[in-house]
Amino acid sequence: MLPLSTRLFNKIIYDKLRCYSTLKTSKKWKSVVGLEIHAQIASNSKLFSGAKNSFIEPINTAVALLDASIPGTLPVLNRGCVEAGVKTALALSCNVNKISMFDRKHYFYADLPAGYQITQQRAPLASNGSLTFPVFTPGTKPYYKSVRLHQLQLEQDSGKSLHDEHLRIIRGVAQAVDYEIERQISVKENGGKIVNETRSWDATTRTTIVMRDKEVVQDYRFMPEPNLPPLHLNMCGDEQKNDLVNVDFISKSLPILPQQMRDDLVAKYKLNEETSQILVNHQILLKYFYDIINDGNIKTRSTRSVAVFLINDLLKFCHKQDIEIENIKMTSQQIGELFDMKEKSEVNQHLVSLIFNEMLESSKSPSEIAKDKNWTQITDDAEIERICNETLMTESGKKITKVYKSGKKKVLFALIGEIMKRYDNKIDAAKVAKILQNLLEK
Amino acid sequence: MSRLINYKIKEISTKLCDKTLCPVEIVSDFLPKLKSFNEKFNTFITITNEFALKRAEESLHRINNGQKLPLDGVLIAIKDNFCIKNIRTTCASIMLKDFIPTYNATVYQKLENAGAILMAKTNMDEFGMGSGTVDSIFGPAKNIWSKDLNNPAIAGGSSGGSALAVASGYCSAALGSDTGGSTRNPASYCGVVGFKPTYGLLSRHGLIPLVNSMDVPGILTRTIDDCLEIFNTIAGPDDFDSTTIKETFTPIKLPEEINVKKIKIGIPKEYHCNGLSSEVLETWTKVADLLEAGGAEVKEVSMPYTSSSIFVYSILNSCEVASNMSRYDGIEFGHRADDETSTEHLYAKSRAEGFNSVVKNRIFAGNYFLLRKNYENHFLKALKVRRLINKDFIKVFSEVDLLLTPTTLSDAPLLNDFMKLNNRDQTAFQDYCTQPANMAGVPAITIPIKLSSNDLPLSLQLMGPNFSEENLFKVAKFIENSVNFSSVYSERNFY
Repeated sequence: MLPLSTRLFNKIIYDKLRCYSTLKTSKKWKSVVGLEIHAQIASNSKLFSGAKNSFIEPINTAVALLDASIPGTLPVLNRGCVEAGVKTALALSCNVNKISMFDRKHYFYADLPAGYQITQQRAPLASNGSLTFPVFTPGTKPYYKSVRLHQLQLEQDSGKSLHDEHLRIIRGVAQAVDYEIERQISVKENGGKIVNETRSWDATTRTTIVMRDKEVVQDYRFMPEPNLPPLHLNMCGDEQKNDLVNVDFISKSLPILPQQMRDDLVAKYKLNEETSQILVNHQILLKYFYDIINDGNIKTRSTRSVAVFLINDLLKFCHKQDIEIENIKMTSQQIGELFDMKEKSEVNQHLVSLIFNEMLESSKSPSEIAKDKNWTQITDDAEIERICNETLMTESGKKITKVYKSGKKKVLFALIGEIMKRYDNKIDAAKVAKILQNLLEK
Repeated sequence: MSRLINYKIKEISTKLCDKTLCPVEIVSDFLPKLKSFNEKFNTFITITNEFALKRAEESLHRINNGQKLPLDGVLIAIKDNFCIKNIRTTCASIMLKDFIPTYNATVYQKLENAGAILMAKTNMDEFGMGSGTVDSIFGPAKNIWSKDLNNPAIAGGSSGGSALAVASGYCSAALGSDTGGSTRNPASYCGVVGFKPTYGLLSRHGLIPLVNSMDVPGILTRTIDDCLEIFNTIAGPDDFDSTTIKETFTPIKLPEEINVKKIKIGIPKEYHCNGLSSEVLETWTKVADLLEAGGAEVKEVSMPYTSSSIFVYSILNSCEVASNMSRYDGIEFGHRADDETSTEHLYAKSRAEGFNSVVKNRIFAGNYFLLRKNYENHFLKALKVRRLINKDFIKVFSEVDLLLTPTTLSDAPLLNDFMKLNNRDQTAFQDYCTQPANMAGVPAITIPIKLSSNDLPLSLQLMGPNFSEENLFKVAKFIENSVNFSSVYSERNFY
């Protein structure tokens, strides 16, 4: 069973954000879906204590006295987290609030030592944002959607360290939302009432079920956190005022945001929407792309071909090998050179993937690797024609020729496959096809 | 020497330098005396013994090397709700009876850095909830001025043990905490100076909270000079407490010649309330006359929201208590009940066993007030009235510099009489004059004036606007000089 309350998505709240499901449902009902998204700040220390914010430490080694709720300890707000929050708020077009406040949310739970969580309920750091994003389902044209952001708040996470498989969870959330829409419509149509409850997604039965331990409606008895004064921000852009976090300064130092990156790739590099989206979604891929395209020595590389190579060869290779692309250590020089080799047909997709595999461990250039391992493919026309003739003379070759000539031209692929296999895929398949076809058509 | 009763901190300092006093000798002499004193008055929860001796030896070493620190050789006691590294800190509760902190409260750390020697952790009401030092798992403290120890007067509370430690003459200073009067009330009953500074001047880091938005560490001494000495040592910003004032603290220095000419003193008529004893009223009038005779302008003022303070307090106090007490679940530290049928059972039983009924009542009330349906009508309303009380102070301090009021409505009640009322009603009565200063965060100091017809101390309180400590100490010292209460001490032979 996959609980929805994970680090990434806590629970689904109906009524907060509006977006439309892909589900075709009765016109009588319109679904309104809200997401509460928990993003973890990559800070050095925790939001309210000096303990390390790290998830690979041995148990109980990154715990400050405050984290263990030792009596007499007080929370101290981490400035870096406020800056990260403001940055996020600006990137999501929120109204950053000049004054925000902290609240205590009370409940007893084994992973909540103080008996309350410090959050921002009444006056959050930022509110009323919006995010426009492309939606892409393979096989359809990407389109844009906007969601409204209710509020962005800083809160401590009593949290456990789980390395969730994010993709599976995102898919789980989408399926759970679709399931819930159907379920709630059917409850409504049968005259029932929708109750506010926390449900979890069971991936095996593909249904949502009520979470037992939260059956009782919780009253969190919110109260202002008396140990943290209201958080004031410097909005007007003065140099530094009373040590406050400077919103104007952060706004000027915002990096290029994804939408602008995508627009740039389309306008300047003539990539299509879909390709630019994939590159932007994988920042490391995007960096390779820029490095390879802007390589001072070679100016003739086609932007589209490089992008396709990165996606169809490199990214696919990583997926197949189950490697996070962020973790590979290949240089853009290596990848660029391999791209050139493929463009010149010195290697084919199969060899590219073998060379990638070597490059995971080796800093050698792809041409060196290819040379060492004898991984170049036969591209010489005369040699390929000789091989093709030889194949056509074999028993099966003759048989296939006969079938081909009777009109069943698809058998050509069987013949190509045979040659590729015989030469261990180290032969230019396109040329083989072309030459074979010529020979057969004679 | 039997006690330090006639020595001020400055004088101890001089005597240490000219070697007429030795810290190791004083501590070794006092430790057994503290023990027998405690058997009579139930003042201390923990006497630090070896730790105090070790500190005294370090002190002596520094003095001999010409590296004397300002508070070297000064003996102190600290209320048992301040965390001190490796010394049991109980809050007088079963919940923390075996709790040994691994860190020092900032205010203690500063005293330690200045050379002070911690002799004892003092008795108190459980978690500071009370005004008698009666509701303690270690039993009630007894007032040193009691005529008959079989029918003793209360020490006041909740910092009663700290007041007694100073009144005993064994310690020069003690720290208490003050949420609604918990430092000033016992100081008043025990005949010592009790000072509650402006909220935010002293760090609360390491003070186990009662009501975070009102708690301040309090200082108890026999003289205004000593009080100022300690205050100057421990005040100032603390990175561990976000509610401390960020600006650097400038130590206060009082002029040699104290006069109160042109200082405007307000007498708030609402403090002349039901239950005010005629002796306190008489003392109040007498001191007002003294100030006027000294050149101060004394006038009657009005603070109409004074009487609502107690009601607001009972709501805000319960709410913060309910919240602060939720960490005591028997898991990370503190009392753990013997019930492991489920986490919830373990929580419930640990809490049921760990807290007394006063604490439990406040937890229940606080959780009730904080419920979604009650929040607006109770908690938010209380906050609004708190603001009105604060406005009373702002308005009155535009007319006068300081306020002179009673600290307590009478002299110390007898324990037997005190026990006849429940904790809540006692608090409402006892804290009437002290509570508003906590609501507004303003500084207040109580000064012993004279003995009542029962031979128990009577005291008065001065309050000032935020950060008016200098003025407050000045006028307090003027009163101290005029009433000469220390002569009462020297004449008195305590047990």
